[in-house]
Amino acid sequence: MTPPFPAPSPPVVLIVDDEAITHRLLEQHLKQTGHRALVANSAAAARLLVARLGSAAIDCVITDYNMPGESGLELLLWLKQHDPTLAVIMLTAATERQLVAATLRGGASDFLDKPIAAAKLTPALSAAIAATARSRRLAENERAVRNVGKTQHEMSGLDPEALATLEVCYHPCHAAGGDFINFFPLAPDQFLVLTADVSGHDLTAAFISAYFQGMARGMVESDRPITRVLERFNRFLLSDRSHRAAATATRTLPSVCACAVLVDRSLGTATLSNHGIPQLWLVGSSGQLAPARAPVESPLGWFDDPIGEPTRFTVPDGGQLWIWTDGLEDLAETLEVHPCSLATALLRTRLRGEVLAELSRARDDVLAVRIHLAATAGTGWLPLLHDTYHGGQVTEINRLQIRWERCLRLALPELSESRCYDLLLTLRETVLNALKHGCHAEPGQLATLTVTAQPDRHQVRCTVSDSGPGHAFDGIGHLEDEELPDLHRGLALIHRLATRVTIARRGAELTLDFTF
Amino acid sequence: MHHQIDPAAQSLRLSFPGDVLSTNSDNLQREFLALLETTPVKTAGWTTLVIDLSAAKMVDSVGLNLIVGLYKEAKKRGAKTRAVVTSPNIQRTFAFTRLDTHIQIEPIA
Repeated sequence: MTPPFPAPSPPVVLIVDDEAITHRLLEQHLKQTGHRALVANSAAAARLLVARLGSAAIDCVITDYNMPGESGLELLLWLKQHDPTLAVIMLTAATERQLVAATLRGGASDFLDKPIAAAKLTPALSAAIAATARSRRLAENERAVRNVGKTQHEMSGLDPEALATLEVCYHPCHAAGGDFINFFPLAPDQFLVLTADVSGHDLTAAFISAYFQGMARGMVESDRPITRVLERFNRFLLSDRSHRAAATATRTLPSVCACAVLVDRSLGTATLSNHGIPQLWLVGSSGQLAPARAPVESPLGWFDDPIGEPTRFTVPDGGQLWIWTDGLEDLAETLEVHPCSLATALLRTRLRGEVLAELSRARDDVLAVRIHLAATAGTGWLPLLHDTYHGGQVTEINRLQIRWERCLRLALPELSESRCYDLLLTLRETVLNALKHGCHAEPGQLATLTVTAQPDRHQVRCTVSDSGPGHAFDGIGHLEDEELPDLHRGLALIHRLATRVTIARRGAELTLDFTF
Repeated sequence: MHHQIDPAAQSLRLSFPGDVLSTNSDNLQREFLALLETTPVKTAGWTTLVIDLSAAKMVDSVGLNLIVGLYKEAKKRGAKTRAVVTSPNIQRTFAFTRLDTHIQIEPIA
């Protein structure tokens, strides 16, 4: 009777040795222990055999070290280059012990002394064959993940209409990830941008991400409002089905941070619905930088709360909206910079067709998006920094200055050492003035510093504002005085180092422009 | 702040350990005023105050105020002031605040 399944083929072992006696002994042992033996009497013959059969047809190589011509170590290095998954056992004589370290460094799975003891050969062979199988499974899985990532990338590619409106920097930690951005043109002057970050950055996250994108696309194209999409997906994540799937896979329940931005250019408005995505930032055409004032609700999949009404705001002329996922915030924290300067650095390196070196320190997927809200392109201001300090932080000025320097150097690497000094000294003077005089060094009083830049126009704009009433001052006249009075030297520095100083609210708000 | 009296040159040299900023100027000023009251400095008969800023990378407005204070203190005692400045950025600051018209900047060796 024919068996229902064919018997598994025996593992194939390639023996490489110039001594016929070793061939015979090993062949005999391998046959007895259920293996199939291939024989080569030199490294060169072995390479020919592997090239002819393909390394995948072989499960393990046993090679002598000491052979005429190429040594076993040379063959080992060739094999590791050709197929790193194939395990190799090196045979060495007792006098060649010093070679063990070199062969292990070269990637040998094991080594055996000659003459070979059968008691040692059997377990060494089993371990080597198992190691080959394990490495091949891993390599296959890695190939599959890379293919998923490639498919994901191709499917989520943005069309030309989207590319005229959005700039996207996406750096997944692994070959496939859970962050995504979708662009939906709804009418000639209306579009929807959906940005999301699925918890985790593995294949499960990639799957949930694909599921969400498919559902969102289907519903949006059927004219369902985005709030219904978010509601529906929240219900799905909280459903028994999702809980069961998570339990089966012994993983925590999935959650998804998502942000939908509906832009209507004909009305000049944008509508925001944010569920767990970090603070969004608005950049105006004059370089103003401000947080988008929209409530941040819980990520989808946490609570069965109804989805709140989105927040509508007027789009600033030539304005941009910046969105990023928490991977960027984590990396900014690691680098001790403001997330705005990291987002700008990412965008600028991407536009140069390069990858920001600092991304190697990311522990999560990093996605950053710039949306041009108005039809007419803005002047290209980029956000660098938006910090709020309380009056009590006057003693922390050195630490703050170090942070500003990190932000400037990351986002504007072309800034010269001397101009960077001017900027830092001016910011130091201005922020100290705001904290000491505007906030009276009181913890309850606040001052805000924003920094934006137009690198293509070699311009940096800084605004420092405080909650104080401002005060009258006489500018920089004293610089010309012969007797060097001690008052207002800081103000004189500010006026001298900045290209232009604009004073508002009697000095409670200063805008400093620098060309570089 | 390190100091050194050079009887041959009749100078008192003050070497600042680093930047001269709002965060350390008060202490530096106190140190200087205390130093002026010490017997060796009082009796040295110095006619030149040398402010060594070669370790400084930044001097802010409060730091400049301190340096102006040192200059005025020296002037009161009939001494002139020189400064050692290696940072081009600090040299620029001395130039546009006109400090260099009162304090001679020593050429970098």
